[in-house]
Amino acid sequence: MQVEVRLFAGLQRYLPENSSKNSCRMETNQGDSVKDVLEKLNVPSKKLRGLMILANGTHANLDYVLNEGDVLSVFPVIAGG
Amino acid sequence: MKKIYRVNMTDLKVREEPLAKEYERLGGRGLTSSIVAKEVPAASHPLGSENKLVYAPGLLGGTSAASSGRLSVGAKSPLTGGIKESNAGGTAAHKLARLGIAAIVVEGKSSGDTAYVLKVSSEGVELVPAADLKSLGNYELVERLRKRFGKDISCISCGPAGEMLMSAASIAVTDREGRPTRHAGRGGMGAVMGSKKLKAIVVDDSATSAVKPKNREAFTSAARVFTKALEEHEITSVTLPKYGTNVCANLIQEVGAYPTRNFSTGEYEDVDKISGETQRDVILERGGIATHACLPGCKISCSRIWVDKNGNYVTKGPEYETIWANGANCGINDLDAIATMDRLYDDYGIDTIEMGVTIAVAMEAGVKEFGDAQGAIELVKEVGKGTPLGRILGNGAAVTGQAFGVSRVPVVKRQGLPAYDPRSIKGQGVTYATSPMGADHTAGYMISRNVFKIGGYIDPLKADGQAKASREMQISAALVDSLGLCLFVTFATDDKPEAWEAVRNMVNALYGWDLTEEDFQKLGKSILSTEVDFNRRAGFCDTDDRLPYFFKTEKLPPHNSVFDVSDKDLDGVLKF
Repeated sequence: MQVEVRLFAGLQRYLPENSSKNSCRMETNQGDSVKDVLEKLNVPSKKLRGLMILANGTHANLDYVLNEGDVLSVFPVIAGG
Repeated sequence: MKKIYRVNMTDLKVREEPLAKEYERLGGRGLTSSIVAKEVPAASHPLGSENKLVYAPGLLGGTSAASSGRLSVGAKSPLTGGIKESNAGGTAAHKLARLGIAAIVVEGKSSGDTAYVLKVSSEGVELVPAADLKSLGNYELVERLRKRFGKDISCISCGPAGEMLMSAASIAVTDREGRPTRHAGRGGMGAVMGSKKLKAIVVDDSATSAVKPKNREAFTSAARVFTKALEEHEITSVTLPKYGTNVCANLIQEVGAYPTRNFSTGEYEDVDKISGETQRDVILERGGIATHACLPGCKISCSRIWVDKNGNYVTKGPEYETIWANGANCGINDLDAIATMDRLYDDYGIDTIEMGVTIAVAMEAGVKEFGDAQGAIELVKEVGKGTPLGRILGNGAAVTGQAFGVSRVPVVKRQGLPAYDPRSIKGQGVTYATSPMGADHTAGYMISRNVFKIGGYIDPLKADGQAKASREMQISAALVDSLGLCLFVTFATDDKPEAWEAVRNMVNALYGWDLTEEDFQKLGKSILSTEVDFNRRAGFCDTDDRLPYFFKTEKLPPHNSVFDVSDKDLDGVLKF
């Protein structure tokens, strides 16, 4: 199944080649969690802790199991305003 | 002992008095609001001689405490009709505090046509007539003031918008480079300054040194703990310095709360063109400065310097709120156009948030099309020229909405909403509705709890728990604003209790006090109660603590949410 992964604020470097600036579409397996997807993108495990994760615009965590068509948005710890 | 200078613009006399005992534990917002509440008749006209304009550094001003140089400015607001405290970075607050000044209170109103400059130094204060400075934009004004009074002075000034008595006018404070880029933006404080014919205050602290703590060792030790927390927290030490305040754009977009085209949707299709990440790339490519501190002693440095395509200085930042208000909210995706508007706003001395909200309301009315960047710049220039259209716009979103018959006008207490849609971040909506300041994000920054997950987490799309959390955040903001600290330190202190304890320890060591956390909380509550009481006396009631009705009825895409925190919950937020 396919999901859209959006990475921001420095995490874009983990997007595969030929991705757009902030996002890519990814083929994932049924039952894959956010953690599985980020590991597939080679996000270092020590970075995983403390990430801000949104699934379809609402807060989620690393264990969230993705569904077909989900939009996953991931940020480092940020704040501003 | 600290002193207060009273500057009477009616008879042009200045007077020094010791800080009264009842005020000795107050600084910043606590002091400005207490003086305004006690001395300004609540029913008086904000531009009349009875209003008083109070400038005050925070309790930690003038010390080596990190990020402690905010300047509070308070008065009865011509925009909201209620009490107002608006604060700014820049260099002035530390200097005033080093001169032993707790507050400058500007009273009365000059009947003449001359502009005045108040010169403040270790020799005292002096009102200097300055007819030649009348109507000058802030940039030329501070250049002339620095030539006349010395390049190391700080300037606090109003621009032509303030002199034209526009309700959205700001007060500028010079930054470390001597530019008029840091503004007490909200609530029309510039118009109060303009009404009194006080064009500028220049502050010379050359004969002073840092404020000496009563208990130096304890202060240094607490200051170290506090600084370490700022230097270690990932937000204050990595992401804010790197991407600036505008790092929020993509995040608020992703949670579906980035108000677009006058709050008609929560997602902007061109957010990438105006995001913090893009802003940083462009600044670095052009040779601007990507990390810049807005005040001396800042350990965060979340601002930046924007340059044009030829590498020439244009303005600071622009900051997240400015880029949103004049960008997504107007459907404008051009950072250069937004920077041009920011520069004009700083020069005219007018609030970038209020103006962005206002232009979007004017666009809704068809005055210009959404997305028309050049058209928006033309509107801003109308404000600077003081044309009839410019005067309508310069009086803010509520007046503009009324003038053009717009029904979707995002204001509370006539002040424009900042960059978070309250339908999808409901805690922020509670603060907008109930803050005595009108719609203000810094008065109780619920984005921390609803989005950043700092100091706890409350689902932003649910009504439950928002009122209680907003109340806590408003108490905290009243305290932070009274200490002269930048609100952004709370990203670290809300996550690290020892850092907040260090803040209290710094205050206690500085003054030889023994305040407990309970005392701190009582102080925050009493400031808010003082402000609420003033507003009640000025005619505000429960129904003024509401969001505009369309937030209850118009669903916001993509979550199709409405604001549904109950009126009962709102009414209890600031009842202590």
